[in-house]
Amino acid sequence: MFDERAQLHTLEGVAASVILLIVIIYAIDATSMTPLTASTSSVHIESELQTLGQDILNTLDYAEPGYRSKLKYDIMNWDGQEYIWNGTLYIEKGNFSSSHNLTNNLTRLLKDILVNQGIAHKVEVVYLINSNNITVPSSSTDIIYAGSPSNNAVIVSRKIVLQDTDIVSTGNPIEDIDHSSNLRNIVEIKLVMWRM
Amino acid sequence: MKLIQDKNNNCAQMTIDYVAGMGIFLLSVAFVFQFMYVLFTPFQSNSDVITLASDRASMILVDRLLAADGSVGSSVVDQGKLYYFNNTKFNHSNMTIYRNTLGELGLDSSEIIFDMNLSVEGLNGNIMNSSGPMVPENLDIGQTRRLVLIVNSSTGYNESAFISVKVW
Repeated sequence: MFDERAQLHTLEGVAASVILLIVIIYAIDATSMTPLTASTSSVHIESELQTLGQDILNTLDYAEPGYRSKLKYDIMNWDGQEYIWNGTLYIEKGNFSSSHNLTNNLTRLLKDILVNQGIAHKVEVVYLINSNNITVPSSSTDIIYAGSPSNNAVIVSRKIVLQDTDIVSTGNPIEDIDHSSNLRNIVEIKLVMWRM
Repeated sequence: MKLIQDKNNNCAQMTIDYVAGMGIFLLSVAFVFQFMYVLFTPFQSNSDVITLASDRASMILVDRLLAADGSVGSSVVDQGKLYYFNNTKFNHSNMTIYRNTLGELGLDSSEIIFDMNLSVEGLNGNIMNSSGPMVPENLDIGQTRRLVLIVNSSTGYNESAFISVKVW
């Protein structure tokens, strides 16, 4: 029971277990590659997402001469509410009755492409506002909300110009910023995409 | 006292402890190396080259060769140009025309020649058009998909579709 080694074995045991724990923690930290982890291997995925997002906005913003683009129609007809994907429809936040859902050219394309490929997405708009006689960009407002994007999220954007003849629907916060000209507002539509 | 300690020491199964410790350590090392190589996979073989080639070809195709008049660089494709490209310019049965088109897409040079397959796919997944040679099963393939709007100004037709460019 009594020898001259004192607590040598206990110390060795503690030291060994601490080293092992450090090794295991280091190994897990170094290799835990989840789909949301930003890394060199996710660069290609990000560039694919960027191309896809830009293609979505490009195709929606195409218009024959003399006509409005689908994207412009969608912005004009937006009622100022925020919508959330519920697995079937983009329903109004805080009003879960399916009659209050957003169905337009943008949501049809997002549903057919991004939802089918499991790509999380949100749509934001920034428009101009008059504040103390100075025209400044508004804060970002969500049209479609899907939580906070991950570190490797990709943002693509498109600016559209609304004229006085482009009448917006009731509740739409985009106002006429210059009553002396034909310009109504300039709206930037941002599509944020990330892999879940 | 010394004799008693030698006979009945409290080391018990120290050897087993060491074996277990080494085993866990080696497993950790193996775990690290098993996953580390995944980080370098994109930089191995020629996967980068064919991916870049397919990206370049799809860009030339969508943004220049097939672009509808007045919409260069905006992912809008003219239906007539697409049909002409599919049926005539990218007709694999005529090798001269096929090679010339590959050259136009930057896939045919004195150093390296790629093959390419083009398919147009509706958003519901049905193949609308396909041209070029069959895709091989045992080679690395670089693929780029572009979402485009196919338009026909004279009829008013417009439909969103994916253009898939596969290069090997």
